[in-house]
Amino acid sequence: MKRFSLNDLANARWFVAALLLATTLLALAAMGTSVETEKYQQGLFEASSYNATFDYSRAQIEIERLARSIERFRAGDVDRQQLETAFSVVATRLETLPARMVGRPFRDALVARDALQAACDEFVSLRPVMEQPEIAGRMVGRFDDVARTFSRLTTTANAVHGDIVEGRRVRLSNALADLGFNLRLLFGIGLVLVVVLIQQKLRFRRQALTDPLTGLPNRAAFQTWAERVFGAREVAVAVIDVDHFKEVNDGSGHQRGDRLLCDLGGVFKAATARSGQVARIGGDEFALLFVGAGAEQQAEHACAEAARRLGALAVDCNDRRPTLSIGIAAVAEGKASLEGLLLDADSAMYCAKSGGGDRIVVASREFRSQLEQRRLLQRDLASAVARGEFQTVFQPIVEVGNLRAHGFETLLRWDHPDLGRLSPDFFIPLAEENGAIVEIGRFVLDRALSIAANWPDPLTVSVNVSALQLGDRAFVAHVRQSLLRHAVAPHRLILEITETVLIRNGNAKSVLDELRALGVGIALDDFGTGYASMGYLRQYRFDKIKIDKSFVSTMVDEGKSAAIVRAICGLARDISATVVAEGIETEELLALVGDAGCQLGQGYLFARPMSALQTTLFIERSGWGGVAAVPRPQLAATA
Amino acid sequence: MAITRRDLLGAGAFAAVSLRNVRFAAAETGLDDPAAAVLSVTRRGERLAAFSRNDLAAMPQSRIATRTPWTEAVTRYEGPSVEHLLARFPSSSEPLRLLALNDYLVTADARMLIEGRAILSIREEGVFMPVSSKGPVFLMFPFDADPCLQSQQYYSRAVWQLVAIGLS
Repeated sequence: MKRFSLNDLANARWFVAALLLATTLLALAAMGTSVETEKYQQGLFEASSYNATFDYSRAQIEIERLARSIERFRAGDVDRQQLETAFSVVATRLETLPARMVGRPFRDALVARDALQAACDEFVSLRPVMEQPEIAGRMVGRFDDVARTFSRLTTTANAVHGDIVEGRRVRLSNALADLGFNLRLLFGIGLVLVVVLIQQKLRFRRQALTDPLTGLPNRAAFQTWAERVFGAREVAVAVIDVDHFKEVNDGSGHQRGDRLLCDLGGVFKAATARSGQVARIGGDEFALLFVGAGAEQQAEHACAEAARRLGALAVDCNDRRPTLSIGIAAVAEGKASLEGLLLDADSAMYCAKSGGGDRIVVASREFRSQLEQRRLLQRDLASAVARGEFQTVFQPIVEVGNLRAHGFETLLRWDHPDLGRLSPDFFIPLAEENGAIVEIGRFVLDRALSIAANWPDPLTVSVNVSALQLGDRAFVAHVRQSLLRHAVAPHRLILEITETVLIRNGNAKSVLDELRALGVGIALDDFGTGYASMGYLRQYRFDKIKIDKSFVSTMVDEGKSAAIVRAICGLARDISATVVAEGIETEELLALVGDAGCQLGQGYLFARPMSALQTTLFIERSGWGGVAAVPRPQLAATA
Repeated sequence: MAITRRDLLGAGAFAAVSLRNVRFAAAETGLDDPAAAVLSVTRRGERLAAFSRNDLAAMPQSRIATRTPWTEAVTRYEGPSVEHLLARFPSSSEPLRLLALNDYLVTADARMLIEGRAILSIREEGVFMPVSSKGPVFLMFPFDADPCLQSQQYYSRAVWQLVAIGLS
């Protein structure tokens, strides 16, 4: 049998509507009854305000007294004046006799009054001859008859008056009973209504703090937990993000994604058990909160447990096992701010994510200081171009066959006022994060072209382009303007892009086509480290393919690497691209690379990155303009 | 002669009935003489004063127009206020005894009569009331003017044919 709770009923719209309707109807009924009650009460007042029975009774006595006065007048005991006084009393009574009973005409009273009137009329007409015994006797008999009529009128009136009063009393008490019933019912329904309203209010509050999909507390609820953290010595917060969730949604549909989120809610609840709280704070982001002794250990344990349980979940329609990037931040002693912990845990989570996901990163003290350092560096980066802290250096790209310089790759160095010279591997990701890369990129391109303008004509200048730059709408226009400004032939400029740049830019093809239309060359950088997708080679046209130094440097020891390099060279030939081998550091590698079929090489064997002035000297030494080869590599390597 | 008189009186009586119920032609009762003392004021049986209708008419007159349980239409009454009359007799707070010609006796607090703005009405519709029609004095309240007066408490103190007021 289905059971209904008041809560279920409170959620039913019809129930609330019925309650409201009933309340309104009852209120109207109560108002009607109260008006009626007032009317009956008024009637009862009226009925009890005057009782005509008393007048009839008095009339009977007065009439009898008149009859006795007539008898005594006849006997000579009473004089005429006394007789007239007795008659005046009766005459006045006749005049003031009520002919209505509680507002209604009373027929018996009218009849009795008429009888009295007739008797009085006769008395008046016979007044002068009242001394005559037979006249007096007749009048006595007449008034005695009327007195009897009034006696009967009195008793009848008493009963009628009693009936009228009783009728009104019953109606009044019925109306009062109705009113009381209505009021009690109204009170009862009002009480239910109040309870329903309170429950609805609580429900709305709960809804506002609950994520409808998973039923977990939402971000707003999480923020209200700040009070629990206040004053606690040990607090830990874990921020958990589902890896590649967008791909789950896109690949398997939103229903699948939603189901995963629901499953995750269950996993987190089970993993935290009673030791902590779970909230869904974003699309695919969850947060766990632990307060009390051993909070950090609990958080780590719960996160590891959640990851384990997630792994154990049967995933039927997705070949990729869902994994989690987890960041944990904790304070063991001191003032804990939920907001601060959430930020730290969030950063740690991003660190876990950028490390490839499926891992837990704890925001240690060092982590936080690094984070702080990164933040400061990003702040400095924004103004580093304006302060002239960037230096461009150039590394030669050499023809493997004859060791002549083919061109230079432009590299960037940051001379930080406090930290000294910083490598691009360190600061470029930071610049990409905060967008400073666009301005830095423009600076590098401009500087590279201004230097290259002084080089002998055939030498190329390579400049690295980041994803953000390629996505910049003004990028192509800027390249064109820079080329014009420095009067460098477009074909001398090679823009180096990585596979990541292509992945991150949906419209990369159109931008590359525009650049190619300008005459600018495109090189695929770091080939072999990423997906090394043949698709890109088919989709885009590259003038150069740069084989990553991780392949080149292992060619000596691993036959596999050499095979791969050979294969890439063969492939490049087929698509009319030139191969550049990076990281050539020894003569042996140079020979291997040459054997594999690479036309161009780059590495410390030829030269380390050089300043613009050194580059000019290098070009002069290599006898450009003539036919001289690069100076002996050993010399350059030791320089 | 007797028949004529009877007819005349009968016609008069009929006219009175049709207009205002009944009103009999005044017979000589002595009390209908405006100069005759009609209202006595006593204290413990001792007569303090006796007023004729002329005496009462000479006092400042108050007027009331009202309906009563004994009259259908609004009627105008005129006479000195009870307050005015009682002011002549220093009195304790004990109730008054109001006595009528028909031996109707009620007690009433002077304060209740004064607050109820009662008058010692001697005129109805501008003419002296004869003894045969509620005279010589009818103690009247302004019932229509104040619904609080419309109760047995006040109706029972509206005494017609009032002849004596007993002070304590």
